[in-house]
Amino acid sequence: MKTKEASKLVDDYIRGEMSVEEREQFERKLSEDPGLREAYELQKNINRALDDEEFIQYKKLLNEIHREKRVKHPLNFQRTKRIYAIAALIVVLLAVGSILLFQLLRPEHERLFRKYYTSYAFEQFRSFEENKLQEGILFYQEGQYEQAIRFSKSYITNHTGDVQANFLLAISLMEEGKYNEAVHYFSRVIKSDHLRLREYAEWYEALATLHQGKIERASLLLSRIKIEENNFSEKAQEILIALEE
Amino acid sequence: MIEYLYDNYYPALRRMVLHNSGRDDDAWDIFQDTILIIFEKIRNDELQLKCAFSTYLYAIWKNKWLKTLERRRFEYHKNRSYDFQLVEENQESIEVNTDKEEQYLLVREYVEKLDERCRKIMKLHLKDYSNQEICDLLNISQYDLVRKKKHRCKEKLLQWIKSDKRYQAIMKNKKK
Repeated sequence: MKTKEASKLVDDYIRGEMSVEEREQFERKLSEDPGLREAYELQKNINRALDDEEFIQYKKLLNEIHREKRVKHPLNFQRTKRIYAIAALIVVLLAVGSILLFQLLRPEHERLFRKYYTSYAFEQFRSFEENKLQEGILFYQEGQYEQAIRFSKSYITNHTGDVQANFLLAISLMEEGKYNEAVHYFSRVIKSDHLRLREYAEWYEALATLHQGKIERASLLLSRIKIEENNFSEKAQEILIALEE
Repeated sequence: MIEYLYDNYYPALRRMVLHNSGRDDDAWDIFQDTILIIFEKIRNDELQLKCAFSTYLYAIWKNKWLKTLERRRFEYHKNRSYDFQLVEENQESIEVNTDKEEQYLLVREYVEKLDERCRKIMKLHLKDYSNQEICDLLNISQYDLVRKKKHRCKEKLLQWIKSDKRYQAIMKNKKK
C-alpha cells in the first residue's frame, strides 16, 4: 500500500470517519500489512506527541533539576578549575598582603631612603672613562660591586687623595649596603674641591646616615643640602618635612 | 523521584560518557532519554522489573550510549575493551527492549521541531476542529490554506521521521 493511501486510511480510522464495514476491513488489513501497521503506529505516536502535556512537564522538571544541580554543584573539572583559581588568588593575596605589611612595618627613615635613593650613573662623567679607574667603573656598571670595591680600595692604597676613586669606593659600598664605611669615604670626597662629586657625596652621605637610623645627624646633613640650593635641595627639604611629620 | 534518580545515577553515568569519548552534552542527553524511556514504560504500564532497578536503568543507558557511538561512526571494537560495568560490581547483563519508547521520543523530537503554526493546526485538527474553525482561530484568510498547510505539515513530519536513521533502525529491528 502506498504511503499516502495508508496515511489517509489511518487518519480516517483514528478520527472515526469510517463505516462499520470499513473499520472491520481496516483492522483486518492492519494485522496483515506491515506497512499499514507502521503508518498506524506512527500516526498514533504523532497524535500523542502533539498533545502530551504530561511528558512536556516531566521533561521540563528533569531539565530544571539538572540546571539547578549544575549551578549548586558544578561539574568536577569545573570545581577543580575553581579550586585552582581560588588557590592562586589566595597566593596572590598573601604575596600582596605580605609586601604591604612589610611596607607598613618598615621604619619611616628606611622607607624614605628607598624612595629617594637612586644608583649613581657614571656614564655622565666621560672623563672617568678616560682615566685609570675605568676598570672599576665597569665593575660598578655591571653590578659587580664587590670587585668594584676591591679595585678602588687597591687603587686608593697608592692614591689616597684621589677623589674619584674614593667616590667610586663609597658608592660601591652603598650598593653593597655597607653604609657606615660608605660614609667614611664620602666624607673624603666632601672635603675635596671637586664640586660636582662633592654635591653627590653630601647627598649620598645624608641618605646613608638616614638609612642607619641616625635621624638627627641625617636631618643636619639634609638641612645643609637644603641651604646650599643645589640639585638635591628640593629632595632634601621633602625628606625633612616627612621626618618632621 | 527524579531528583533521586539524578543524584544517584547521573554522576557515575556522566563519568563513563566523559571517559569514553563523550562530551558533557552527550552525558545529559543520554541520561535524559534513559529517564524518559523509563517514564514512558511506567505510563504504558510496561515496566516489569525482574532485576535491580539500577541494572534496568543501566541496561537502557548503555544501549543508548552504544547506539550514539555507532551513529557517530565510532568503531565499536575500539570501545569494546571499555568497562561498561561501573555502576555495580558484577552487574547483571540484561536486555531491555526500548524500541517502542524510543520511537515515541523520536516522534516527539520532530513534533517539537515543527513550527508553531504547523503544530497548532495539527493539534486543532486532532481535537476535531473543522477547517473553518481553524481558519477563524488562527486568523487564516482562506479555508483552503488550512487544508493545504495541514497536509504539508504532516508530510514534512513524516518525511523527517522516516528519513531518520534511528527510526529506520527501530523499524528494521521490529521486522526481525
